[in-house]
Amino acid sequence: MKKELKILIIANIALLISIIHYTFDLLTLCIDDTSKDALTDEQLNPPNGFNSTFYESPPQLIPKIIHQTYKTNDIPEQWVKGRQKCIDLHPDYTYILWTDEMSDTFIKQEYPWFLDTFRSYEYPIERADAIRYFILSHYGGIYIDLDDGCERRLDPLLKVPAFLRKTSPTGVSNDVMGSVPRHPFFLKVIKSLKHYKKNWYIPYMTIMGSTGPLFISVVWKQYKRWSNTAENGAVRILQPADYKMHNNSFFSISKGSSWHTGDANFMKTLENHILSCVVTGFIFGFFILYGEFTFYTWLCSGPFNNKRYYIQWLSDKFKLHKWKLTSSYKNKEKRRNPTRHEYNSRGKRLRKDSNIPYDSVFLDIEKNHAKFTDLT
Amino acid sequence: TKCLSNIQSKKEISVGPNGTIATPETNGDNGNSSSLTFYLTFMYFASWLLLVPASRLWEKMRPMFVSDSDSNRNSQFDNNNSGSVTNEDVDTFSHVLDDPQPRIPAQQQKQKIISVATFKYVAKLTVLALIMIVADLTYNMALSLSPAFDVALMQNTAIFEIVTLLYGVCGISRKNYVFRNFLIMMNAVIGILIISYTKATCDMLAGKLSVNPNTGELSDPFLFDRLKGALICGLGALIMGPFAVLWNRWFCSNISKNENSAVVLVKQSTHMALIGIIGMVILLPFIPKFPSRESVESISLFYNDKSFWFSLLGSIIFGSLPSLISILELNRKAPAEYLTTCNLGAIIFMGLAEWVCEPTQTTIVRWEVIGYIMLTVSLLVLSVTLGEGKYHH
Repeated sequence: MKKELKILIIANIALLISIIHYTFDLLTLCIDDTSKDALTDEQLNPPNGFNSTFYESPPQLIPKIIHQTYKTNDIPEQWVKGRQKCIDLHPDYTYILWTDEMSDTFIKQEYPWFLDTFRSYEYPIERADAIRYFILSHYGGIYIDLDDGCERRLDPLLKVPAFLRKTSPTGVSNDVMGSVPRHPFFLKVIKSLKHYKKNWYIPYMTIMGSTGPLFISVVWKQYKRWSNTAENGAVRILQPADYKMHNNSFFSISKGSSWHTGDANFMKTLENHILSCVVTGFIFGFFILYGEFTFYTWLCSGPFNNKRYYIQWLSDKFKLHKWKLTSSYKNKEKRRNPTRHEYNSRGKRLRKDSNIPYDSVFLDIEKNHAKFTDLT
Repeated sequence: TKCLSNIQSKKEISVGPNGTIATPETNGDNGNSSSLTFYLTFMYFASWLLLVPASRLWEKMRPMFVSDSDSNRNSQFDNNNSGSVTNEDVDTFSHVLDDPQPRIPAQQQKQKIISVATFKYVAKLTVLALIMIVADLTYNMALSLSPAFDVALMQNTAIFEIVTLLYGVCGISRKNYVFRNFLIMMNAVIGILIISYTKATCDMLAGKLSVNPNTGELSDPFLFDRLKGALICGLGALIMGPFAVLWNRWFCSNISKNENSAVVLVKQSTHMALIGIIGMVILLPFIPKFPSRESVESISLFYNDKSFWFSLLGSIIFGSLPSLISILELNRKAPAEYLTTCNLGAIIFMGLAEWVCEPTQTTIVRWEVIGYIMLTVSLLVLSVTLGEGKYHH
């Protein structure tokens, strides 16, 4: 195997390993294993209700608090109804609407180590995402996005230590979450926020990856992999059918995604053209790998495969360039003829000498050069 | 592809004039969905057994299609050899035939059945069979998730790319005009990209997909199935690269120019048939996978359906067999890399098949036509540049 090919293969393997290393958590998201942790129908909809004597109801773990966040107390019209429904359905719950001002004060008082990061987020939605993790970890309770309206009482969800909602196509979302205070998963989430604060240059990606659903999905995968998720450490998953649009669903959705900008709409367009996204990935891979192969064949076929010739060629080029610079000040006539001839005789092989090794091409002896014609 | 897709996408089967019965898939029994995938893969391998008789038939019918000049050229080679295929020429243990040494009498061949060469030969066939199983299983699995056109486009694109790349890297293809060919190939794949992008637009216009008026989002309940299908098919098809390389190394590199073309075709068909047998044996434990008594009944009802067998036979007789024989013929007559143009052609013909099969649901937009033109032009140029040389007879 040629050296160039070896280098190309090693470089590609190294690149592949580094890509796998940096995207390992994302790759693990491809394996959707939420069903093991799913909240079962029996848990969410017990046969005769929780008051039945035949059903031993598990104890309530999550405190009866509903958290929501918005910039101010002036909630947009389309979300008022859903929010009010949640309050009406849960008169025995404490309801807290976290405004930006309240959030900032809370972080300043309780988590001062995070204040700089919190304030330095480029997009307000990142702060809105981050604060929900802190308040769940601190107070416990259930966090609900303002565009999610309640359809039934949330009591069955209080009987597990923590829960997240499964999202499509894979991973979990952060629009509905619940937890006991200081749950190890949410402790890990708030610790990871600083590490994942990165600018991906595309707002949608930056928000998703730094504080949004992608971030929480990645941390959830890590948590499942490395932490003890038994009993009190467990994070249960609310399945899509239990979330919305089914008979026993807990929530209903009004128009939301207030933070979506042009790039998010572009991402949605890509979703519509899902086949072309996959084809693009394959074409990109082909372009890179076949481009490397083309470069490799060019390297092998060009003058660069003969190292000695290449060094000589470079040296001649350098000398010629140097000579051009110096002679331009001295003698313009001299520049055109003799030295040029000297370069030609050394740098290029004459046709009649084509079978002679390059090193054996010398000055033409028929020209009565003193060195060769002096017979004495 | 279209026939197999029809089988996979069947939601109910007719059991008489009174009504219909739901297939296992509609009953939500995933076990049966996968057993259908295994079954179709098994049947695909079974169709390879027909390659030997089909190739013999093709060789007998060949003079009718070959011009006089070609026949004369052929006769030069054929005169040196036996001229017709006999049982002595093609033996089940083809490794002996591949041996460039002079022929050994059939008696002696039989004595050498258990030998290192036989073991190596079987090992090679097993490796190829395993590779083929993965590729075919992923293909059938993708067909159960995605529309036929998506699968055909993805599979052929992936095979075209990986085979082109591996043939180059492994030194099977020639290194003439690599950069020029690279540009033409990029033009072709960009054409494919345009087709795949406009496909969704066309589906929207044809009413196959709809937009949710409340959210403005695409109401495609099978969106992620399509993503899964495209990925499974594309990644699974990549394994065809090693298959093509190994096939060329093991079963094509030792064919001499003077060898009778009829013998070579039958010999290679025998290899393929043996791969088919090994594949069937490997798949045997997986089919039919019946997890319950109910599913046994439903899946056997499914197999009782005439349209199932009609589609399956259609896919074998008009799809697999002609395709395999033409691939074997092309691989022998043209440079190895020339075969990759078949994948590009398959995408164009899949588009045509879609247009023919679903005339009322096909919408064509300008950019789709541009994509097809780019692909067709690139294909024609590649056919000329890659097909140069080798012994055409």
